[in-house]
Amino acid sequence: MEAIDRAAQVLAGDQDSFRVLVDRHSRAIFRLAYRMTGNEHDAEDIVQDTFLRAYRALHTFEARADFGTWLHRVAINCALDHLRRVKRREEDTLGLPEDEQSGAFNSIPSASPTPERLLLSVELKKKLEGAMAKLSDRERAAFVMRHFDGCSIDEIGKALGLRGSAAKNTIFRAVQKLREALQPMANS
Amino acid sequence: MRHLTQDELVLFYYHEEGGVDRRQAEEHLQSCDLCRQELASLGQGLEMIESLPVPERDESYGAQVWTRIRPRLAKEPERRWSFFFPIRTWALAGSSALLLALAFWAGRFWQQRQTPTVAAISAPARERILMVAVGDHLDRAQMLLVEVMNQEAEGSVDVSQTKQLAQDLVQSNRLYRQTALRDGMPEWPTSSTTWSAFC
Repeated sequence: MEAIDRAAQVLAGDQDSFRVLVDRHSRAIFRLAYRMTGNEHDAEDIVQDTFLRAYRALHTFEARADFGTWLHRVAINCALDHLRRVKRREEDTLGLPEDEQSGAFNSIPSASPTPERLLLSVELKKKLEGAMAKLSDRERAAFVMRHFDGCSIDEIGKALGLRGSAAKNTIFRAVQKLREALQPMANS
Repeated sequence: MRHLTQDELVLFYYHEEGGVDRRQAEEHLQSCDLCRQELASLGQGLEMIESLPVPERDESYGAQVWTRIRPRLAKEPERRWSFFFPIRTWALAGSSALLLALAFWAGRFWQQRQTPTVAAISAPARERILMVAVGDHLDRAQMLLVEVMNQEAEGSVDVSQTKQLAQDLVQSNRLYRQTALRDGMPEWPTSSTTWSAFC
């Protein structure tokens, strides 16, 4: 059954249909949220917020749109809200040196190491995370959407409320910052 | 053709429109070592980001998320058609309109009954009422002045409430003064200028 039919059934009061949508999209939303935050705990929260928000806003989903794309847009907004909240908390935190304050890509260490994690040297991982941490929330969102989700600049602009040229410049800035941060590694 | 800029290379890498013509760019890249190297370096840097591991979630993850969010879901999501037929909203609007009409009717009825009572008061009685009201007004003015004088001089003090009260007193002072003059009472103190200065 197509996502649009599922959505229609949910709107008709069939909660179980929403369970199928959650089941189908949870992992992709988690990956997106993790890339946006660099933190498992935050990513888990964003996944839940995304589905709760999507459930409430399901009537705004248009039949001609792709459900996955729409859901990703909801997730991006949830992630941006989350990052803003984190930033506010950081600003309120007093007495901690900047590098000890929790934040995206340098906050709670992730749980159990996976084989992938072990393969990647700790130093390399740190540098990659550091490079991502240099991006602003908007740049990170735009970059993740473009690079990992394959969204067009137009779609990114719509999702982030930016005009075409502003969305494009956001991507340019993000790429430039990443390249600058990763240049020494690329050379070595 | 000139060399590709960094931004054009990014657009080319992501197959985005808006940069130079793709075919032209491809031709240039074939002949220009510098731009080719630059594109390769861009790709290398961005691919490096892809190696940043994302913790995997197994097949049961969707079910786990569902278990966590289910209690927080409303019984029914908001429906598109509910905007056009919001029964509860209509009921609320109806009862509000009825209450408003009742309040309006009651207000008119109350006003009609009150007006003659005011007209029936005799001149000496009006004077007495005015004197009592003026006495009360002066008491309030005095209290306010004492309050102002006792406020802390140091640091920032929020005087917005006091200011509002003083403005009210100036207004009522003006009314009393007008009433007193109309009724031929002796000269009214000119304290309103003091209040105005404070406001």
